[in-house]
Amino acid sequence: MDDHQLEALTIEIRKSNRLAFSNFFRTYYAAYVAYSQRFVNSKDQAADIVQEVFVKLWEIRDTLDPDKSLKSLVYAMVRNHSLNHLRDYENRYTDLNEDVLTIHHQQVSTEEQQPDSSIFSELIKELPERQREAFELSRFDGLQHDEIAEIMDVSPRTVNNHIVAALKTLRDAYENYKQKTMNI
Amino acid sequence: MKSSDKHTNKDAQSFPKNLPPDLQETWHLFGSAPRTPQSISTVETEEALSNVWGKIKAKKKTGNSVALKNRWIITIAATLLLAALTSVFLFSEVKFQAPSGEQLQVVLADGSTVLLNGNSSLSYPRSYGLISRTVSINGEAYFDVESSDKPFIVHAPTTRIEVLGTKFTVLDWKESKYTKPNILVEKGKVAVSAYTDDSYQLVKDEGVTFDHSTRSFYEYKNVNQEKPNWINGELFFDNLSMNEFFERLELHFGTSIRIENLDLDDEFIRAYYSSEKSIEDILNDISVVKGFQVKKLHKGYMVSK
Repeated sequence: MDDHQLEALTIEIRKSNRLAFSNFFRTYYAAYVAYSQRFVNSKDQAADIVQEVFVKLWEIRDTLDPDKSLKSLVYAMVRNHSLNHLRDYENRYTDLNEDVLTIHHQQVSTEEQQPDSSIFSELIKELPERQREAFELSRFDGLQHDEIAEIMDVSPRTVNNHIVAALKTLRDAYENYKQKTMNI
Repeated sequence: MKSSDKHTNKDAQSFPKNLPPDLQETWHLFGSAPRTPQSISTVETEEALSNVWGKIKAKKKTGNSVALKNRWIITIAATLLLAALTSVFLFSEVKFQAPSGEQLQVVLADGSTVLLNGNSSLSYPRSYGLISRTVSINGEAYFDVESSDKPFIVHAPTTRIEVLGTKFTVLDWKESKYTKPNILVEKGKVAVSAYTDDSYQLVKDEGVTFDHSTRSFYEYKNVNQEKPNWINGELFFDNLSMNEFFERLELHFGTSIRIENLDLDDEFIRAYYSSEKSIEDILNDISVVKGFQVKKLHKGYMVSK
């Protein structure tokens, strides 16, 4: 769906066009659930959160601005809802998270001979939170800097800084990793 | 302005041009990082979507009274304003029209209320209530008239209704060809005429339809003693001829539906929607049930074989 279509869709949703709303949902639902999963670690939770966001979106449809990216707006809403959810159930999920991390580390140490691509995920996970978020939105969701800026509520310049810093960290970390595996 | 969507192929994600070129290699390298699998099927998406619509409907039900209250406040405010202006514009007209497919409630100066169904309109002189209580309507409306010694008179396109204080429903479209005017009394006593000296006296649960070809009224009894469904935002078409059905949709949604290569004379339909639906949804449903093709035109729709 290109920008022009998205703008037309926003205008239709504003006019309470259910078909337009459904089409928008169908196009982006999977991407939003995947995005929410980065925060809440559970597909079911993520699906619930995204559905709540869409209910909310329908409620506020008359306030939508066709000149602003609807895609980013919903990303931002999913982000907020996910973070709220995390805040409310924080303990449960940080515990889970650490378990997952330690398991992964073990795997890495036993499979060092063949550097498979999971090392990339591991290194991304170790990035500072904001850097990681900006990098992932750019690299994996294909969003522009100004869109990421809207979602993370910072300036596009800050987004750029985060991504540059993330890439530098990743580059050095990966060099480090290669060095280590070669020395063994 | 905004990026295009590239979720489907992450390798196609090009290197952002505002980043330092020496980071390009790392950018591409880390693109192969395994991601949380996006294992969401079309079926899951559709289920989620119907879930969302269900929640929206459920919320709307609980929020309804608030919306109605707001509507009251707005209409009361409008009426107060009108009362203030009455002295200036005694003989000019006030006109309300319900949005297509939705209802609008109008509160008159004496507290009588008129609930207009989709696209229907109500007008009355600003002097309403001072000397007489006369209103004009086109379409479908539910009246709840406050008692008063001044008779309340409704001028509909084909019918004229006179009451003292009562609740009743009027269906009378100027543009109709198949939809017969229909007046149904819920409470009180009503006199209906076709602007002639002959008038019908109707009481509780009595109704009349008017037949244009014979220019006469036919009486019926509302055995279920129920209010019209549309008052609750429902759409209910009880065994209508297809011709009338399409006409009612046209009138209700303020659109046009072209019938192409279809003989509808002996086709009837019974359709019920528990909440407001878009015209597209309804037409799509009907086309599935009846095996029609529906096409959206520049203005309106076309239904064909």
